Amino acid sequence: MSDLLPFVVSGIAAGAIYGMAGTGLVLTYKTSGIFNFGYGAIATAAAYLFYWLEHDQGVDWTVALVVAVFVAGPLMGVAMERIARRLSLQSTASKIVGTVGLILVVQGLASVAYGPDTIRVDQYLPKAFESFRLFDVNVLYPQLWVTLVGLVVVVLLYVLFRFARTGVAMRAVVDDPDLVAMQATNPVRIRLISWMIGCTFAALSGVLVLPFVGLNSITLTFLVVQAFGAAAVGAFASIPLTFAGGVLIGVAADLSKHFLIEQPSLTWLSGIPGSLPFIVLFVALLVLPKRRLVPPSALEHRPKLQWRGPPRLQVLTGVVVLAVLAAVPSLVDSTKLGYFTIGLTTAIIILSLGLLVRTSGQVSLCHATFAAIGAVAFSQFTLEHGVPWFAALVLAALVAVPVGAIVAVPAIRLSGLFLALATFGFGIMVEQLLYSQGFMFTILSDGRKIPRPSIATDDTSYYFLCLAFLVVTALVMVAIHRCRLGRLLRGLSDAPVAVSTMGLSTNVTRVLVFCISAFFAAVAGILYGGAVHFATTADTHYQSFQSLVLLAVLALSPFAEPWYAVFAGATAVIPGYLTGETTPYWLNFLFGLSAVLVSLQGGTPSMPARLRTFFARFGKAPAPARAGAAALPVPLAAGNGSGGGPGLEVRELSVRFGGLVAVESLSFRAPMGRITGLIGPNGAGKTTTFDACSGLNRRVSGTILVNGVDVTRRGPSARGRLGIGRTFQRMQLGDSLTVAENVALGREAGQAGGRVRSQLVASPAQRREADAATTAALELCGIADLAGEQAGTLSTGRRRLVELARCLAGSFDVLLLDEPSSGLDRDETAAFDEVLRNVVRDRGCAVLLVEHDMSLVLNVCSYVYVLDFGRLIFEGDPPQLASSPVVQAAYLGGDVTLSGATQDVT
Amino acid sequence: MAKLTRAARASTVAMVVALLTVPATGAAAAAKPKGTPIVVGVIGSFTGSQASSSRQGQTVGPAWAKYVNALGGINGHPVKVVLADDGGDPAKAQAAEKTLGDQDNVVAIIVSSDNEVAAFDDDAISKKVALLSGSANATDWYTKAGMFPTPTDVLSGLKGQAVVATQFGKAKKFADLYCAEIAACKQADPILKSVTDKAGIGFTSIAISSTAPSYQAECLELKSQNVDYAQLNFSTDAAVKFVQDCQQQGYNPTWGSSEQAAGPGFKALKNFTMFGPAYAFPSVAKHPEVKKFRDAMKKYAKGKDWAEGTGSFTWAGLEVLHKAIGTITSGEPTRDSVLTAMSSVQSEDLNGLLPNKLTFNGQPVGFGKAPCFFVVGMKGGKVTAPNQLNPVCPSTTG
Repeated sequence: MSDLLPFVVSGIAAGAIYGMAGTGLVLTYKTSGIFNFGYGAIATAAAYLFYWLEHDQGVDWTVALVVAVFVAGPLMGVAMERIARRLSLQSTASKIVGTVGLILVVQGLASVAYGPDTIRVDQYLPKAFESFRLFDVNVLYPQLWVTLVGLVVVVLLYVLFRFARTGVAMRAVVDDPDLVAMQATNPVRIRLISWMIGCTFAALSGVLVLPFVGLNSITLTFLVVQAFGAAAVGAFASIPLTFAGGVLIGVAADLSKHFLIEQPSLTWLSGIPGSLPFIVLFVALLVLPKRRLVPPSALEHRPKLQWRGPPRLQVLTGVVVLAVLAAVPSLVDSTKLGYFTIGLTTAIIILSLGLLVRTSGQVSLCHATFAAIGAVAFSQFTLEHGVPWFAALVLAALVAVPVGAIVAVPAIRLSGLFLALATFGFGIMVEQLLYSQGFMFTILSDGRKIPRPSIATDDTSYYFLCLAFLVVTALVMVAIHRCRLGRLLRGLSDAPVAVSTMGLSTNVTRVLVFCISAFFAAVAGILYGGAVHFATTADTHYQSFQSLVLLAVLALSPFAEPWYAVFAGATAVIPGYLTGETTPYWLNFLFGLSAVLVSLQGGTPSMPARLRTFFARFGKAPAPARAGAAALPVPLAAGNGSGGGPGLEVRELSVRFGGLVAVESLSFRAPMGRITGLIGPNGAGKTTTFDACSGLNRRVSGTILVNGVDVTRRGPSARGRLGIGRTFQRMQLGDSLTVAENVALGREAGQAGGRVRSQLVASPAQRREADAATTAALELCGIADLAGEQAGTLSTGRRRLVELARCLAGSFDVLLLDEPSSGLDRDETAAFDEVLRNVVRDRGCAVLLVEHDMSLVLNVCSYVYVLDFGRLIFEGDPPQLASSPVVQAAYLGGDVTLSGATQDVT
Repeated sequence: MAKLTRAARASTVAMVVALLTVPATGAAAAAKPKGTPIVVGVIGSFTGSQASSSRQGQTVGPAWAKYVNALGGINGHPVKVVLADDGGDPAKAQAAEKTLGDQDNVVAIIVSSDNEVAAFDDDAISKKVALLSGSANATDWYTKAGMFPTPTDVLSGLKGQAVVATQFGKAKKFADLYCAEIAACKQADPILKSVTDKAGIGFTSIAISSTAPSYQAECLELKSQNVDYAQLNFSTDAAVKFVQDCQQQGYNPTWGSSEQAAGPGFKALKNFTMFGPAYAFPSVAKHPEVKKFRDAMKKYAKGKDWAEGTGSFTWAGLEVLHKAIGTITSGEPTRDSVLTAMSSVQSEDLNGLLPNKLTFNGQPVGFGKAPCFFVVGMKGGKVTAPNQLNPVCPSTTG
């Protein structure tokens, strides 16, 4: 045991840096809801400022430290608070891209100023080269200072949080900013303080770590990024645990070095110490309880809608673009052609990333890893196993598919931010752990040979080969968007909860899209390797940093699919014409800055109205998905039950949120062929009950049956397929989809279910069924004329009708309608009244209606349940409801004594 | 009279300086060559993340051209060196090679640093442009016809690390500290173990992350294992940090490195004793051929980094080309004739400047044909050549 102590001691200093950096990260995340991927960039910027002052300007180190940490840190905090405030309203993907962009901005500028090579920086802290002996280790005083500083600032922060008014407010602002505001405390000011403290922590980490690793923008950024692992140990919430996690990671890394050196047979694990923070991050995201990985909720702006031109215009554009690309070899200098070929491969990987990010709303920060895996596998197939070129390409790309599935495992339980973090950790982990293995890039300095096919050995023919692959990839992507999977993915992106409750197994969808994306990323990696003839770890195209660059380029690329890829590909050509030494760094700076700006805007600008009008001359807008199909004489839904059947039955349902009882021992029935009301004042537990019935909240007690089948333990998609459909109080529409596509999702989500084939394409019979259901639902809700409109452009009232139509188009026996008339005008409400009656009459389905419009409830409901404070206080028909003093008291207030089935409430 | 702009003043000063210096240079030189210029490309990573140990070709190449021309050129033909920066980027390397081949019409290319050579060697070979190293770490140097490696071959050179450790470092226990990030760094491990086993000395190896904030754990481990010779097979800047961390733990064995790494970083270290194989001549060696190099650089080089990194590699490659083209006595040197001349090189060591006698026959060179190496050292902040220009050959030393 004693022989391990030196390694424990040596690991503590490095761990303290991780812990301190992680603490600042958690602080800002907790108070703003923004996970700052650019946290390392803040640290790096401060480190470069310190170096510039101390080394270049000859300023005393104490002054340089004060300026870099305690002046620049808070100032960067002020800037970050402004950025975070605007990002907080954007989508999760925008939040991630915005902060990732900061990394590129700092890396680009730092490399322009000081070059890419590491500059060693002498230790500046007192007693820089003096040490004292502890457990056979000469502990340097700077290491002691760093550890003590880390401990002190974390303790101070803990005390601030626990005891100071500002600290308490900082904690409260996370949970309920409005409540904080009501207590005469400005939540913006509190967040500003948090960001200033958080960025000061980052700056301090960067300046302190500088003498240990030297001046290198990527190294500094990624070193502080290792704090993500520490933050994961603290479940992204606990500051003391985060610091402890950082120290533990540092100690574990040094202990693992000792262990690995003692075990020569384990040299293949030599990357473990360096990748340990990312392994911890990845594992923590896999094992932490899901409820602890829920980002602070925030109202997000709807993403900007991408306009799609008329089909004729798209075909015309495609022909023109293809003609231009085909003419490139004869137009450009032969010395530049290689850049254009690489541009084509960049376009392919951007298409693969776009499918994931733009279409399905998931973020991958490990696409360069897929590319590397594809290139390595391809080299092995062709050169070591003699597989023909084209077959090897397909096989190698297929190798990346299970890897994509592995990456997607976190996607099953995580989403948005944490999924991005998991992919980020995965990419760096693979790079550090596997890239150095002989089976990856070989033990040769020039890595793996990537041969070209015999039909395209020269540069020009290889260019055309890559162009052909780009065209095929683009067509596949367009086809995916047009087919069922595309609609499901866009639905998953815009309204993940809705598509899940409609019967779609979103876990399968997420894994599926990761697999497809990984496949095409691997193809791009292979083609890129062929363009330059070899693949090595030193090639930036296969390094994890490239994944960040790709995301930034995707973010700033305008237009819808597949045209954004053409823009992205063009960016790869720039270094061919701007050949300056600093061009790559300036490009990274511009990509990063653009990514930040675009993210703050919520996406690339939409097509201006004038241009839309102009382009509309080239033809009609894309036809809505089968909106014009003739109504077929089939029921809207293949209801399993008939009028009077059991429908929905809830027994003794209780739902608790911590110590708060939201619903208690609630029992009710919503039989087939009847409209049943579920009403109550705000906070009564109506939506909570809906969530419990539709499976969105499964931490409940009691029993929920649908047509006699116990679904209590089933997930939302299974319940959807068993017949429960619903609408949402806060609407869940696919804003990027047309109205018709939204409505079709109501049927298609259930048809797709959890089967891969069904999610990919619809059978002819399913298409006919969905067509008919869509058309009928659109007409029934009176919105057939809106079929081709993008849902995101509609008024609230019309969006309600679209959501209702989507529910009606589904194959549901029980419809849970959550305030469906909210936002409807008087005429629309009257029409809605009629729609509901018709649906129940024609289909015999069960409707459970949550509604504040009492006249609508009294008009359409045959039976009504009333909740207050989570308990049932009344049930009966509308006349009884209208005369019930209990109900009146609940709505108007007062003390009422209940009797019979109900209980006393006060 | 209008004031001269800063640029104009600078140009004027430069012209005056040129007018004053050209006659002086010409006075010491042979007859000015008047034939068709022989255009030679020098390509390497002059910028980018690997530039610190790879950029010296851009200093040595133009200086070599001036040196040769001052001596009357090659068979009366002046030489012209065109520099091409690969930027450490394969795409840029391809464009640079195409520019050399298609626009500059070079007859041969010296690959001063070969980080990206695999990206363009096929194209150069297809155009019959002879490729000479520089550093020759890439496999292609040994497997492709039309490529002419001039230093110690890479696998034999790896053996040299252990041979130098035993012969010059007096090692009892050898540690291979290899970079954790790149698989190629590991390739020395089995070779070094084999050599140290034969020599009867201990062996261990550790993967080193070049971005680690501290190397205390590794130093403590080496110390506990009584390693007295530690070979630094990872990036130079990290190696400097590694040595400092170990010294702070009171552990300061004899260090192993290479000629290319013997730059300012190591020179700044105190109490640092280093040995290593030199695959091209050490620029400090006492030898007439090396003196020519030093004198030429002092006279013609614009930069001061010629004694570091790939400086001597580039010079050796250029001088092999010089010798080969010198054999072309009839007609203008063309790509074909240069390629033929290079393929006809027999037992050439440039009067001892090369560690091996080179023979090329138009076929791939293969591994193990150039096993000998020189030895470089460092002590008291100065680079040394412990064995001067006497090559050490592992096959004969075991």
